Amino acid sequence: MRDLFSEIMEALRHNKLRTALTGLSVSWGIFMLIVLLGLARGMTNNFEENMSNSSQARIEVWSGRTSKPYKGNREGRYIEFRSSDMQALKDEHEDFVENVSSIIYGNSLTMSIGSESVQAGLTGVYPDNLRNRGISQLLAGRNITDRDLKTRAKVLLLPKEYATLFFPGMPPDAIIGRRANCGGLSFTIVGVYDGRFDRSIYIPFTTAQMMAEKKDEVGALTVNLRNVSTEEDGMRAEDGVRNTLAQLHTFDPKDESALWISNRFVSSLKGAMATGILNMSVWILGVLTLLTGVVGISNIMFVSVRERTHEIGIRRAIGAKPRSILTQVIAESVAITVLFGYIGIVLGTAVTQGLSLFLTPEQGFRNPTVSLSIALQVTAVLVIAGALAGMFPAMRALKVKPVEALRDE
Amino acid sequence: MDAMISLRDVNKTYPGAVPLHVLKGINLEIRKGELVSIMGASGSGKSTLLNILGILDNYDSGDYYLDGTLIKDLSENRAAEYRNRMIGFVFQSFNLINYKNAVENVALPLFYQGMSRKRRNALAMEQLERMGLADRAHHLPGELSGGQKQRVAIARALVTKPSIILADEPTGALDSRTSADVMEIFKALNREEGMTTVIVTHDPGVGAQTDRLIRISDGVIADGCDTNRIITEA
Repeated sequence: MRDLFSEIMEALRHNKLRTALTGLSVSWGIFMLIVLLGLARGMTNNFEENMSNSSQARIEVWSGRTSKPYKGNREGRYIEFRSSDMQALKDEHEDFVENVSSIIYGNSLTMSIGSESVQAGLTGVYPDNLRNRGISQLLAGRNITDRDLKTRAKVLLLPKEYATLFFPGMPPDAIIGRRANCGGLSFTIVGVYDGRFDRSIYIPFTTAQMMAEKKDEVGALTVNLRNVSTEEDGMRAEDGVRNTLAQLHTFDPKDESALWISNRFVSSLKGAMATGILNMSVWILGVLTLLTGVVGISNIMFVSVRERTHEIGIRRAIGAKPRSILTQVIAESVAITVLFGYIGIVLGTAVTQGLSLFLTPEQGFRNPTVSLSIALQVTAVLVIAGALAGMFPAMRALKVKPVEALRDE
Repeated sequence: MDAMISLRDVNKTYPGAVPLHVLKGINLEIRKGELVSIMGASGSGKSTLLNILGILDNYDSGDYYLDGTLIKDLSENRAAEYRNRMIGFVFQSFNLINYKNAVENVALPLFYQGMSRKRRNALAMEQLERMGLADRAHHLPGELSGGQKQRVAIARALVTKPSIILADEPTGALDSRTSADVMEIFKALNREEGMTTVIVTHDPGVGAQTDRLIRISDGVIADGCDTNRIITEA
């Protein structure tokens, strides 16, 4: 192997400038491939990160207004979800409903801590609501738990803006365990979160229910799914949810405006497919760019074989088997392709690293760099491309007859 | 004495609009340890004969035995293997690879035997030392004189310890002084090691230095005589 390598190096040293100029087209092809793959990776990372913050196997249902009369009910009727809907959905569709949660937006009340006070509404949530809203990591403390729901605990999560307002200069950790008065009830602060634009004060769903005037009324429903894997499963679940709610609230299941449904499960499947198509397109584009480089390498190998016909004749005369000649030409082609390809990989990686400093998740890119596995895949592409580029010139070299080649001076 | 080369009724025709019958029923025997020259005019068929002897070209009919092995209808791989192990070539234009230094050129046939670099370089150095070129081992062919290049080529021919040396006009590109040196090497190898050597030449001076001179004319062997007899008769 080492011998073959040094044979190749000797041959390449022979025509440095020509080899370098041709190799640059491969470097450029790979450079483009790496940068495009990096950017596509950045977009995919961003998509996946956004998706992973929340459970994807779920359907969100918001209540709307009917747009047609149905069974004696007039159109324009507002649908109000009740807490019994949650249990009904679960009972009706045990096969695909894992659980159903909801949210309660409480009336505005005065929250005071010490001498400071604000007017705010308390939002009653299930633990998974927080996760779906991207509040999975807290600055301090803990989330609302199932136990809080069971015990209707008077605990709350505070956004960091209120934490700063009420406890100026104090670190979030020091706030945990402090008390807050909300509309005459004393709550314990169990967590502080950074919700970017979200400034809700979160309390357990059951606690909010207890405080509400209409105890049975709930907000948007989150139906967490199970046993779903295909788009058909997702659509069947959506139809099931719509039909059950239509029956419970007496509206036409075909009435699109009675419910607003966001099928996160189907969207995530489509999103995954879109990122797959994006990646595939980038590969096709990159490989086509690389192809121009490969054609260049193939040309240079043809010229090299022609120029070295006499040398091939000498080698054949002193005992080189056809296979040795074939191996040498292909190995030379692979060596040029891989060598210059690697220059492209290194430059491409450097540029994507540089881009990752400027492109932010807000611009749609998260860490737009290539992973080791992509580098390995690109290397495999290079080896295959190099071998293909060398294949035809090598076949030409094989046709060289030793006697004729020795005459070729 | 055993035959190193035995040709029986060997024919060779080059196809074409007008087929060219180059070798016409060649019968030839060269014994082990002989130093033989083949002489003939241009187009007489001597180069074709040498190519067939060197397994660089096929023949159409007849039989060719090299050191007891029938050389006929060989695959490319087998032909390459026989060339590598049984034959040492020396060419008029040296045929060294110009980007390899002397020792690398000499070691090249051993590369195709799969020998390790260390071992083949050691064997190549031995041969270069024999040729008095140890101090030129790391020079490229372009940095060597004609005589030195031919000695490197002879070292390359000898490095695999072949059964026979086939030399095609080995002194054709050299001045008379250097030609004499090269012929001395062939004679010494033959005398001291019994190396069977066939030299194709058009130079009667070279032919006269061999044990036997075979004349080929228009594709047939005109005569094969003892060179001592020619000299005596002259």
